[in-house]
Amino acid sequence: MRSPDRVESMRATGVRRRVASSALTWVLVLGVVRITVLLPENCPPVDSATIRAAVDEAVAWFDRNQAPDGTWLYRYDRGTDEVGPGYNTVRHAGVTMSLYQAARAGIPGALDIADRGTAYAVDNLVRHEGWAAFEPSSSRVTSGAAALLVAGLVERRTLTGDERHDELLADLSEFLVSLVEDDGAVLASWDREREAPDTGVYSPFFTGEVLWALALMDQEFPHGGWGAPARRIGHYLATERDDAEGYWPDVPDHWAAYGFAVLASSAGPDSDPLSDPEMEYLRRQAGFGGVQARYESQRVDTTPRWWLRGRRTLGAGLGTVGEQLGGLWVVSSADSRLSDLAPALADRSECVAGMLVDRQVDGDEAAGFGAPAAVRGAWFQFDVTQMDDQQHAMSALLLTLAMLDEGGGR
Amino acid sequence: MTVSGWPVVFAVVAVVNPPRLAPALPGRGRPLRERLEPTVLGGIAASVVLIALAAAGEAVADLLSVSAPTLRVAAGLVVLLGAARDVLGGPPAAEPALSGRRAALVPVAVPFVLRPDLGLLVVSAGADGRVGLTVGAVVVAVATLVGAGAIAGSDEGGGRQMWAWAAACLHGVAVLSGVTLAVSGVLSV
Repeated sequence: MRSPDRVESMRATGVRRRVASSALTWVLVLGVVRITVLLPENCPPVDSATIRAAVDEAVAWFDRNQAPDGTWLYRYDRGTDEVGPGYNTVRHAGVTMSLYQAARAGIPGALDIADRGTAYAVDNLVRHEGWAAFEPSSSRVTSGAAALLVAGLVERRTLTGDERHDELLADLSEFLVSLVEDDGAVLASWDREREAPDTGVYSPFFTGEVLWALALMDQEFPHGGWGAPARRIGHYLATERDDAEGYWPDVPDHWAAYGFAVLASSAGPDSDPLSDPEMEYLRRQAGFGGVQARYESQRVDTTPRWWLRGRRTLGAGLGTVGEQLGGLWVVSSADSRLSDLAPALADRSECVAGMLVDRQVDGDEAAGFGAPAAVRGAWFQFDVTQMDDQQHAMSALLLTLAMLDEGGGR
Repeated sequence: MTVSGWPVVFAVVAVVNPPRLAPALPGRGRPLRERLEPTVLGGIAASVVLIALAAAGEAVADLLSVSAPTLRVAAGLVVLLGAARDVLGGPPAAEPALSGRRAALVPVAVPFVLRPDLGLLVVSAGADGRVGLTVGAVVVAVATLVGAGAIAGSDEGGGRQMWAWAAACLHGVAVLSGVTLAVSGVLSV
């Protein structure tokens, strides 16, 4: 038979073990959670000056890497010092648009560089039955290229007041409207050989681009009849697109964010506010942007973090996240139904801007490569940059800059 | 995606899971006052810690450099795993325990109530700005624990099967709450 002291001693040992086991469980659980889920979100601090400096560098990249015909260096591998083949018409229009955004933000030189890009587009128009589109080579004339050209030229008109491209804007917009179906779906392209739209062919991005272009046209030319098709596209995007076109999960659509930002900002006595389903769609979209920004901010290109989160994304990938968040922030500040998201959207936008500034190649780093002119001011992944990396990163930075200038920062 | 406060309340009560703990609470078969004292004291002590953690939620998020939604994802996953562990691990043991009133510390406060999944859950709720709601949820959970202890510890305190069924229901609630919190964290800005 055990003595009372012996029993008490065994009890005390058992209690100590139980407490130690509990403490160990806390340490293990919190430790594992910290190194798997709760990885630090690295959001380098930014302010207007650092963002403006990064945009200056990006604009300078486009200046240095523009050919006499107005096109830009499309793809460059700094590891092998080789220029990649190919060119992309939609991205040409996108870069041109982004440079007009920079010009509107007062970035020196951006307007002239963008105008040279527009000159290339004007030299390569496709005209048919009263409309115009932009396609220099292939038979596939896309709605996306025309839409981004429209967006850029509207930005230019707003900045300069110059009406020289008004007729072209109307012709390009006629092309876009010709591809909008009754339910608001947007066909991706028109076949030059058949001289007919490519029925049943859609793009995850062109629909939002066309929404944006027509919304801008409606804002700039309120009596042009561009608002109705824009509204139709907006409703379709919010209520049908992802199901009808087979996207799961939903497409995180930065172009739609631009478009809805224009619609929300235009809402007033003479125009309708966004519908509740559209607000629900934008709320979901904000979630997609938020999680992408948070996930990306946890990425580091060294092991073991690399195993857990993968490599850092492209400049274009991070830029589109920033564009989406920035566009949605505009909606949140224009429509009270989304205003509860404004602080978080501002937070994530600044985080993306901080990452972009941090990841842009500076002059010192560029000097170590074969063609510093093609490296400085750019964003790389696997030693490769494409012109749309600079485009989307720059547009995202400009949206954050505008947000900060409006006092929307953290 | 925003999440209402209800998943937090449900999750706190479900993680504490009073029916699971009730048969193992100290003082079984003793007079009511003696039986409840350790549970009440332990519940209060644990509540103070949990409320402090909730109040420190935003500071903890800043310290770890993580956003509130990411913290919510972590809390949801840990609640989910904690529920799975409880199901697989069976009911907790009454012993070893400190004797008398000191049983409030072991096993009531530690390890019954102060568990890492609950700790992370209240920190997350605090980081989400739901400190008041968390205080309410903790009070409800502890009060339910005391009530369950009062019933389970009496001579006619119900069969183990009844407590097991009630505990299983709350495990289900914990799973649902964990999934809801994790998904809402993923889909939040």
